[in-house]
Amino acid sequence: MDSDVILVIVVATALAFDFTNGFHDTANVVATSISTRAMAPKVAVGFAAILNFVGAFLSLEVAATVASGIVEADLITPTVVFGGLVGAITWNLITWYYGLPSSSSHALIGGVAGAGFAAGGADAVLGEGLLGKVAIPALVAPTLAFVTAALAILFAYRIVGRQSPGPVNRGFRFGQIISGGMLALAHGTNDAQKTMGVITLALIANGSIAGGSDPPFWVIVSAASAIALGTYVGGWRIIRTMGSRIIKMDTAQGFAAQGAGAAVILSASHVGFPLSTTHTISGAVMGAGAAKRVSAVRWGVAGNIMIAWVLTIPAAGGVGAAIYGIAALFGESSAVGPVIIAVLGSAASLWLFQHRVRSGPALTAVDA
Amino acid sequence: MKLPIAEEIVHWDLLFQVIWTAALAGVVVTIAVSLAIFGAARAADARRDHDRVDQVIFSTLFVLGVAACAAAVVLGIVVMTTKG
Repeated sequence: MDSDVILVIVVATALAFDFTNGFHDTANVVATSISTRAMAPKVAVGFAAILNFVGAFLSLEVAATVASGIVEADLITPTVVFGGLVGAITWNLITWYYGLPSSSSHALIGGVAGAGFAAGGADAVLGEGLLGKVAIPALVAPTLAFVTAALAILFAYRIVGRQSPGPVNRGFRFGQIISGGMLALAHGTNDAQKTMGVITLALIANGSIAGGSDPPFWVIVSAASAIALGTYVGGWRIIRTMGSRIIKMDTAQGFAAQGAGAAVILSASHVGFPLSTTHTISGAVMGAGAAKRVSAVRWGVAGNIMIAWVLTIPAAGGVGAAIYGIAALFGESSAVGPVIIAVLGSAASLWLFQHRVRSGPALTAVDA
Repeated sequence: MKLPIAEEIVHWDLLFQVIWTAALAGVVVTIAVSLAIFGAARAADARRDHDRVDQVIFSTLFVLGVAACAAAVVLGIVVMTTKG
């Protein structure tokens, strides 16, 4: 009975994480398009939501490996996964509150690592995995995107610099719609799979489906729906940071950032070295701005974003460890702890959303 | 000299492959779009000036740029659907 209750809570929490993932990462796809007026804000998030939904069905290679190589496999219980998910959701909400783009995948890895640490001690966390899957990609993604977008914008200015602005702006805006669509599809293929993987693992651990099974259809549909809904609701505070607070971008910069970002993400994915969409697009936006003029980048904002990236693993890990510790007080396999945490967490999240939506910017307030 | 631990954790060949393919793809896509825009703008100018030769040349440039972008989109979708 308890295991069924925990399973339901883990599934619901995974879908909540998926929602915050879409909500948090909307900015990666739409911020530059909205900022350069390639698309109206509501059209942009609707477009991104649909393509995220479609993307979730494009590849069913379940990313059940999100925690593998990070935490000792035999320590990953539903309660550890629950702690990790709550840690990741908490960090996503905190960074959204402050309008800071940060990686949802790293938050999930940090959360699971923290919960694993609380469950099995320091030996449970595989340092090599954290270095190889988190630290190095976190350095490579923004640096590579920065340089690529900077080179791209220099070529773009060289080619179209003397043309009249009308056709140039129309051309780059159209290009942004296409590159934004590619980013949204790529995001759906990558990020919805993580939730599918987490739910499928929980179902296997509970004996609801056989080991090695593909995710059931309801898992695919619910994960796709949660990420699409989150994307549609849109994390407007992060969109504003990404679209206008790092640099004030023109259409060529918007396309260079988004087009170069999409190319970097897909090329890396093709080679088998997936990079964070958030880190890539943030780096690309900074590169597109700095290539025009170094002082065009608001380095204070960029610095805050980088601090958030550094804090992602320890912060999500700390919350994950605390949540696991509280849940385990009632017994590792007892449902009481997760139920109490889920109820309190839901109430706190709803309060935060209501508070922020009431005092937050309206849709049209994105500094377009 | 690389530290042994770094040698084990980081697949340097994979990393360098990512760096050059990603940078090349990002720059090539932007150049293709820029050339398409340049071609369209100059072809429109040539049409207004009744310069048939320039119109054909720049229209061809526009078509090539658009074709390169379309190829990049198709390649991107193939990458998404076939990733392991």
